[in-house]
Amino acid sequence: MNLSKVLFGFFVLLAATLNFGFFIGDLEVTAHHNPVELFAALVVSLIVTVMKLGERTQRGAVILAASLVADLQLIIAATAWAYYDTTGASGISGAEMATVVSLSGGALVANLVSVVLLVIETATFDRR
Amino acid sequence: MLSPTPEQNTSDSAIFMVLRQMRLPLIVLILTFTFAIVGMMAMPGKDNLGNPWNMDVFEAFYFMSYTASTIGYGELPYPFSTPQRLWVILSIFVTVVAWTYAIGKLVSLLRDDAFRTAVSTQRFARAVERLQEPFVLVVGFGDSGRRLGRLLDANGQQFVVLDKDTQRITQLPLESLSRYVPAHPADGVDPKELIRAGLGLKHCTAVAALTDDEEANLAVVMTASLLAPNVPVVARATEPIMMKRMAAFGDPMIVDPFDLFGDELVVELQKPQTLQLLRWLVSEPGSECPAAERTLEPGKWIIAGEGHFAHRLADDLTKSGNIVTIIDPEVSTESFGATMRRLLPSSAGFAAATDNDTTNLSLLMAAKRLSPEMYLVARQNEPVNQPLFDALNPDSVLVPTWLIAREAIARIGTPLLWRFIEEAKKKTNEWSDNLLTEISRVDHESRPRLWGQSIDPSLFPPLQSWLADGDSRLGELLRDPDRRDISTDLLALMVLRGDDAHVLPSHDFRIEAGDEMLLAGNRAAHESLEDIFTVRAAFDYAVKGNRSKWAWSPIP
Repeated sequence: MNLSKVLFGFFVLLAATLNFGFFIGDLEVTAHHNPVELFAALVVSLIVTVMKLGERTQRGAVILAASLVADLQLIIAATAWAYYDTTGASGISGAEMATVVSLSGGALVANLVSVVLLVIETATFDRR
Repeated sequence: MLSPTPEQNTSDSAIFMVLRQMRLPLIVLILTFTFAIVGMMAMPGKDNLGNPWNMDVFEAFYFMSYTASTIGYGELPYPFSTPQRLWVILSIFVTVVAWTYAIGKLVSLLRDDAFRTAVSTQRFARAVERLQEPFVLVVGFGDSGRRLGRLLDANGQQFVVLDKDTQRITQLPLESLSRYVPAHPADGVDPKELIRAGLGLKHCTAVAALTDDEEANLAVVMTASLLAPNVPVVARATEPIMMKRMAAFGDPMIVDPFDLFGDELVVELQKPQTLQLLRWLVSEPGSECPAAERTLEPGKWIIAGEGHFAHRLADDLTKSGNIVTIIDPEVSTESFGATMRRLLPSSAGFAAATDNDTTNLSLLMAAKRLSPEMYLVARQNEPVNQPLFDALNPDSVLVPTWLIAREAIARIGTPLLWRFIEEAKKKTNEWSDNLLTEISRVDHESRPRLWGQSIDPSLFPPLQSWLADGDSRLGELLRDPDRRDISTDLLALMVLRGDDAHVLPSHDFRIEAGDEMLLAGNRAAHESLEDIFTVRAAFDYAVKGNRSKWAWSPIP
């Protein structure tokens, strides 16, 4: 067992689960989406990116690319949330929440790609 | 860390190295930030009206960003409560340390020797790849390499330098060359380094292996002949065994300064004007014609020295009809002095050919005193002794590094020049004398430009019809594209057809497709000829006499 592989698998999965947790629920219902969860998803996603920095294998590079996409989408979602939350008269509206959530939905796809790649890597590991 | 494979190493290893090393500091930074932000959000605070208030993610991130980076705007948006301040104290200690750690690590990585080597290697490889003109790969930048570099630069040729010695590479910019020359401290013995330095690239037209280490030169010859079989290689070698080994790889041009010197000396004694011509042709463009040496009838010679060089020189002199005695100053000082005094008065020439400059100088001084009219030949081993040999002014001095550079430039510098030199060596002294006069007329007594021009209709289609009508004369190409009734200051030194060299062709010489011409001319003449070979209107007017309606229209 390799500790760094465990940690990496942990963070990739956690990024996907947190992202999913924030995404799930009615798009426009503010109560269904906790901003702290969005923040946590962003942090974990950043950690995944950093863990793959300087990667030279093909699969590692694709995971790095996928997590960069997730970072990008989550950063935009978080920025949008901070903007809407502070500028509107009564906090964030339903339509605005829908924007934030759908952005995080895009990040979710990228995170799922990372997970799939991780599973493939694990499955093919013994045969090499 | 895995040791990178050669291909990966060339492109982006440096940045990957930094990224890998930055993983831990960045993760620590993210985690401490998160820790501090979450804490800030949890701490109870009050807004300006006294209502309970908690920071949200954005406000906490904003606050931590300016606090952790030690900028510190203060307590925003509302003054903090005591629990918040307590948490700020903790956060500052944690995040500032993490920040400092990350930045310190980055700075130390950028200053790391391995990183800097990797960056300079990468920069060198890119610079070589980006070269858009033919270049010569010079391996070994000692005295002969430097001289070759200067000659190449003066001839307008790009080159790339490899040398084991880092100091020589760092001193390269002090050469004040007219172009940027990519240089890299690396051992040419390593094929990977040669590939990085451009061996095998389309623009790499020649390789010169001029290190002091003959085995290293052999390795370069071997690598070049296996990886780039069609690229000509010039290699320095003096030991017969090394020459034999080099000759086994393709057909490298082996430069042996000792052998060359004997050949030159024989030419010098019999045909001084020929040697004068050859030396002038391989000098820098714009330089004056070197002075002619005096002739010497075959006679008795004394060579003071032992070993390879003395015997080589003796062989060459004997072959040209001289009677040579070799004496070894090392054997016995007394009998040596006696022999000198006995032989010198009846001798025509004296060569000080030991491998010690001090000995050579003292021998020369002695010979000069005994017989002032004697033809003196000196071997100079160390470049630093140049002023001493200049002061003594013997008739002929062997400077190995200078000979090597000259020979190398003649062989790989201007195309066709080497062939012309070979042909010129066969001619008489008078022939050379006449040619010297003609060449000095071309560019105000200074060494004109020399360049090769191939007659290739596929590169310039108008040539096709001109060549096809069967009356294509050389003289028509040498006309001024502004006034065709006068000829430009161009001298066609040679036309090479297949393997036949036509030296000094007349203006009536018939040009055929595939001919290679070696031309000498001043700058204006060079540019005129380039116009004729690239601009259709210039070609039509100068060669055929048709004034085109669209003057100076470029070829489609």
